[in-house]
Parts: sequence; C-alpha cells; structure tokens
Amino acid sequence: MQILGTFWAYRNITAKPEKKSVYPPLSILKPIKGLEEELVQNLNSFIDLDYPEYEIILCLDSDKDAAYETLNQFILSNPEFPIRLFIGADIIGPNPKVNNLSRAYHEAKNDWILISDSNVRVEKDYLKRMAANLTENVGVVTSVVVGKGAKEFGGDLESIFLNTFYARWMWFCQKVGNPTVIGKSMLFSKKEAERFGGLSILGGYIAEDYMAGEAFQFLGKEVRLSGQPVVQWIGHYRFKDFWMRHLRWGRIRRSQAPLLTLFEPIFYSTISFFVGAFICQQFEISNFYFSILHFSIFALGDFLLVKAENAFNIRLIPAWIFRELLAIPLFIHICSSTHVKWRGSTLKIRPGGLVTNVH
Amino acid sequence: MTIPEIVDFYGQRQFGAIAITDHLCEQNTFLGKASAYLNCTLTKATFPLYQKILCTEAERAWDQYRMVLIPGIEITKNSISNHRSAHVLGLGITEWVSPDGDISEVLDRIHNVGGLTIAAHPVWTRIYEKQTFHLWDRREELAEKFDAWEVASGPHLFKEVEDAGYPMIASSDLHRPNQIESWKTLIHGEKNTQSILENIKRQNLSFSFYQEVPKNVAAPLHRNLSLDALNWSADSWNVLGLP
Repeated sequence: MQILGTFWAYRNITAKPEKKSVYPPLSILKPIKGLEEELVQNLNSFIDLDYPEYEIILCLDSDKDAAYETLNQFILSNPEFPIRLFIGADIIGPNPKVNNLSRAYHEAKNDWILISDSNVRVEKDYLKRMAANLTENVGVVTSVVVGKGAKEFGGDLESIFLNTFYARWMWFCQKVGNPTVIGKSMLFSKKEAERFGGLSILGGYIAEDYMAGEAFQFLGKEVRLSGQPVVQWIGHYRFKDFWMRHLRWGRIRRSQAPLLTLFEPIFYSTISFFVGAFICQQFEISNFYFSILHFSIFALGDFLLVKAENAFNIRLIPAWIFRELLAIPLFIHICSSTHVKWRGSTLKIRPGGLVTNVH
Repeated sequence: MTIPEIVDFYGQRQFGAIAITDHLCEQNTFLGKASAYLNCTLTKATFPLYQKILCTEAERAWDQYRMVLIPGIEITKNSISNHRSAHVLGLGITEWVSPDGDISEVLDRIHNVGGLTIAAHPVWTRIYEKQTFHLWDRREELAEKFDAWEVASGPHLFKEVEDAGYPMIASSDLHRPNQIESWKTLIHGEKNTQSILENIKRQNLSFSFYQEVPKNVAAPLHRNLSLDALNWSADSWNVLGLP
C-alpha cells in the first residue's frame, strides 16, 4: 500500500499537465478568518494567473476581523483586477467556513466556483491545471496540499505530514475508488451542486469538503484530483497547533469514513514494521535486515515524493523520524474521543460528520 | 445505479411513476452498524442529502419525462435469522424516520410523518437469497398497520400473499438494469404523488408484467393468475412502476 500510494502520488505529481482548448470562467471564493501569516503574499499569488477569465471574492465574517484593513489594502493595490469583499456570514449550519462563504457563493458571477483557503499559495498555471480535469462526468476537482515555509518544528511536522502521509493517502483513496475532497482547493459547478442543495446542505456538516465529494458521487459524478499540489504556507506553527489540527482532522475522518480510518495505521511505517517483523519471524528471516529494508523503502518513497513536490529541506529529516514515532500515539488520541476544538468552540462529532456544539 | 440514472432509466421507458427507496438500516445492531461502516445504508447524516437529491430529481423527472418520483425509504432490519429479518417500505417520506425499535413502532412513525407502509417481500422470494419472514410471521398482529403487502417483488408472484386477502402491491425491487422485467402495479387515478398513495390505500390498482420487448408485454394480470417461474434477484432499490 505504501509503495502503491507513493507511486500513484509521484506519477501524478510529476505528470505533464493536460491542456484544454476552452477554459470556463471561474469565481474564486476565499474564506478568511484573522490576519494569517503572509496572507497578502498568499493572495498575491492569485493575481494574474495564466487563465482567461476569473474573479476573486474575499469572504470575511465581520469588519472587526483583524484582516479587514489588509484586505482593503489588497483590493486597492490591484484596481485593475476583479476582486470583491463580502462581509458577514449567513448562518446556515454549524460549519463556520460554509456560513462565511454563503453570500459570496450566491453572488458569484460564474457557474464554476473554486473554494480556496486563505493560507494557500499557488503557481501561475494552477487554474488551468485544475480546469483541465473538467469533463461532463466530473463533479468536483480538488488538490493535494503541500506544506512549505515552516519556521518552527511544529511546522516541519505539519509539512512532512501533509507532504508524505496525506499526499499518499489521497492518491491511494482516489485510485481505490474512495476519493477525498480537500476544502483548501475545491472546484465545482454551482448548477450541479444545486442538484444536492449546494452549500445550504453542506453547511450541516463539519467536513463540507468530504460531503461535497460524497454528494457529487450520489449524483454519479466523479471526484478528480489535480496533479499539481497547492502550497499551504505554514510559517510559525507550534507543536500544539500541529497536534490539535491532526486530532481534529483524524476525528472527522473517523466519523465520516470509519472503515478507511481503521486501515490507516497500516500506512504508518511503525505498524507495518511490526506486522512485517512478525511475518519475517515465522519464516526465520532476520528482523535486522528486514528493518533496514522496510524503513529504507519508506524513507526513500517519502523522499522521492517530497522532492517531486519541490518541498524538500534538510529540517524535514528529523521531522520525518519524529512524525513516524508520533503516528501511533496520535492515532490512539484520535480514537479516544469524539470531541474537537475548532475556532473557539468545542464540538462533538457524530457519525457521518454531523456535529453538536458542546460549548 | 445512482438516482439520476434510475430516473433516466425509467423515464426513457415511459413509466408514469417510480418510487425510490434506499435502504435505511437499524443504527444500533451489529449488522446495521456494519452497513453504515461499509457505506451501504442511508444514515442520519446522509438522509438530508438523499432527500434533496430526490426532490431535485423529482422535478427533473416531471419536466423531462412527465414521470412522478415518489420519495421513500426501505427500513431494513436484518438478522442472521430470516424470521427476525424484516424490510418495510415507507413511501412519500420526506422526513427522517428512525429505523430502530419494534416494527410496530416503526410503522407508526412512518404513518406519523404521512408515509405509506408496505411490507416488502414478506414471504419466500422464490430464489436462494437472504429472506425476511418476520412480517409474515406477525401478519395478524401487524395487518392493520400496513397499507399494502408485496404480492410480487421482481418476476415472482407470491400466492400466499394473494390468498391472504391483504391489500397488495407489486414492485420490481430493481437494483440493476437487468431486473427491469418484473411485475408492476398499474394505478388507476391521477398522476401525482398524493393520488398514487391514496389509490394504493384504496387498492384502486391492478398488476401487469413488464417485458423489455414490447410485443411480449402481457395484459394486466388478475388475482387468480398462477405463479410464474422466472429467475430474478435483487438487493437495494425498489421501484414501483406505472407503464
């Protein structure tokens, strides 16, 4: 599974981009909460992309938000570009991100909507590579997320987690027919989404991205993964941030895809080592040689993947070792509860990704 | 088959109405939980999505084919024992109905939200597959709570249901396109959901065997016809058709 997942991820990330003759106009929706590190640099990467026609809509809960002034400055500094700022959220469910996006979603000029988180940074050909996946049978196109720009050890852990484990897991799930959608980069048709109720329905779930994928598949539409990853600019990121985020993601995953989550530990180098070592013992093969072979395959696969993502730096090596050691405790912690903390609220996650606000 | 595929499948064959009833398994039994893990059942989380898709597809079915789509569910209580297993169809369901508890309570819940209750394949289905005899075992006790009992599920007629004198209905229980050839219900009334449900209750209907080749389509079947012997199997969607 490790080799297959790595192979699929590597092959798709390094594949030559497909080209189309016609690209539909897009509306890029960016939900923003607070003044994130390098927010302006992230937003700037969306200006002058190599794409015929698109608009950017920035979504902010309130004009009291710390990012408000920065966003106004950003708009003023790009007067020739179609950027709009929407302030205020429609309360359509427990998911604050969907509430924040709701107005912009309804007011977007174009049918094709691209939801892109504010901490995402993209290449010039990002939109063309996303849109190249659009065919009649495709419901939603999403991307693998690659972490870059970490300034603390927690950030390095975050990067290595995204760049290896998540990238491989997403491609593996895609290829075995259980694709996952990542809300950081999600392109779909509003007209098609309205067939299952659009954002109004998705607002009822904590993982609106995962449910969007499910909903499009209910309609018989495919989920496609773009070969080009988007970059999440990590910056200052503490160990606690890393732990809490993956705790949240893990618990959401467990509630929405319990069977896949059950198999998740097999992807950890440590668990698969114990299984392999046990089998080797039965055939009287040296555990020493097996361990060298096993961890070399894991490390080499991950190294190639990170190189393909153009995200390698030397600090990722200790982070990789540490992350592999943390995988089991993190998985146990994920399974120990159904509560998550998100944006100041404690939420109880119920089966299927429904949530109850605890306090 | 996805919901849009089912709509197109029946719409292109000029059916007047279909009911789509995805499985809704019990939530607190081992088999029910396993179904949820394997993504083989509706859940409280996916139900709103399912309902919304049925709603938009019902509009499309009417606009494109002038075909009525009745939203429904198939409450699925499976056990290792066939005598403890039961499937109940709820037609006209637009709200969440808990599948847990005794069948009698579930039937009341369906009626409380304005739905129609149908006992699905209550007797031996004439093929070797998982059977659901619980409803038939309790038929005297539950008779008044059912609006209809399936006298055919697919290509086989159930003589014991026919002889029992209960209100009846026939459905294809279609899960795959090759299961289209089956008994259907002809409902005599207006072509809208309310009228169809009302006419099922009043038993203002007759049965007909549908075959893909038009020249072989049989005349409407009367209650005293004998069982036929076509092979057939099914497992997830139920369709009630009006040719």
